[in-house]
Amino acid sequence: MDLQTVLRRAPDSRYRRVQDEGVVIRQSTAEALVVNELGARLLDLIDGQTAIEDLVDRLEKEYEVERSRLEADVLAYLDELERIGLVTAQKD
Amino acid sequence: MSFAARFLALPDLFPARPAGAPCGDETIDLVLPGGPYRIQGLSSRQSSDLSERYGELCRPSVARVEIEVFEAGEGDFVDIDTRGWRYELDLDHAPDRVRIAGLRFMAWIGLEPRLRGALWTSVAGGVRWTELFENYFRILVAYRLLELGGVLLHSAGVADDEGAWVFFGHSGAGKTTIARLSQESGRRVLSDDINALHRDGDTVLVSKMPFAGDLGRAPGGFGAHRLRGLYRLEKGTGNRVSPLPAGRAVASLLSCAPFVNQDPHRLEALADRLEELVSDVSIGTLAFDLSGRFWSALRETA
Repeated sequence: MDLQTVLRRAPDSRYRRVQDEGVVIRQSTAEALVVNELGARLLDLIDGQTAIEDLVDRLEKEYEVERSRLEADVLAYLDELERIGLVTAQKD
Repeated sequence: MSFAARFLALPDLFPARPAGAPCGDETIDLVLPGGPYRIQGLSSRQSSDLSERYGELCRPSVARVEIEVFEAGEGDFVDIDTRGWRYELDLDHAPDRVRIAGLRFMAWIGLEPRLRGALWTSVAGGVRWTELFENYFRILVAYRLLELGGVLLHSAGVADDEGAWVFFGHSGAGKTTIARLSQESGRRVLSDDINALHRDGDTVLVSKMPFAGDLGRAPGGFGAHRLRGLYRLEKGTGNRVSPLPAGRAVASLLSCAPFVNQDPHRLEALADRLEELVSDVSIGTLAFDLSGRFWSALRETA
């Protein structure tokens, strides 16, 4: 995964905002997972069309954090979401 | 393994619709949240066994949910040596129905246009009959409660003069312990395993269900109680109530809502109902020790 990767949410997952948290419901395993504010915002933005770099552009306007650190945090977080199967890389 | 292959000799012949020869011509009504439930097509023995099992809950009523019981042949089912065997029902979910297969029975819950049930069995009566009926019936009740905006919840329910307190969590979270401590303090345990949360207008009510755990098997006490507080159990030292953010509350409750939380076609509806519930009631996390003093912490926050 790098800044040019385009991600989409896992097809078996349903996502909702509940106040400040994101709740992801995985239909295939009947699990409900909670993600923090950053995770919720990322899941809001992931649409299967936007590269991670463009997601970072959006977040840079919302969070007062150094660009390089934001990129590292977002990549690390998305790696984790991919590892647990909540997002997958979009294939061309 | 395909659906029902563990239990049925010919799983492809699972009935497509509620039809067949009834076991008999007797009927009983069970008065429970979401009901009354009418069970019809019972043999005399099946009817008397259910009446004995459910006692005061059996009384003639105007039924809102109907369950038909049909006779099945012994040869319809696979012989299973149950020694050392872990029993799990086989469920098959579709948008408009649920199919269930188990030991000596197959069953169906129709969800559209109205909820209704059907059960086929070769068991004529006795404990095997009441157990298989209950294995099916509690699934049907879970769907019915969800349909009405409620939920069946793995939880300990405790009632006092002010209403009911519900403590939820998985096995080992402390439900039986907190129920025992509550009982020792003079409160009444509804169930230490499963309780019904249901609505009467804007009011959330808690009812004891006949599917009790170790505690709460005392007869009676089936009336509805106003919900005072809903707490996720957490092991810890001391007695402390902490806020439970809404997202985490919905996720935790969802994992404790049996049967319907395994249905991919109902998860969204379940999450909707839980989100409504979380916004309407006092909810938190309770850490407690064995002193029984957690009640003071609850009263300060409820």
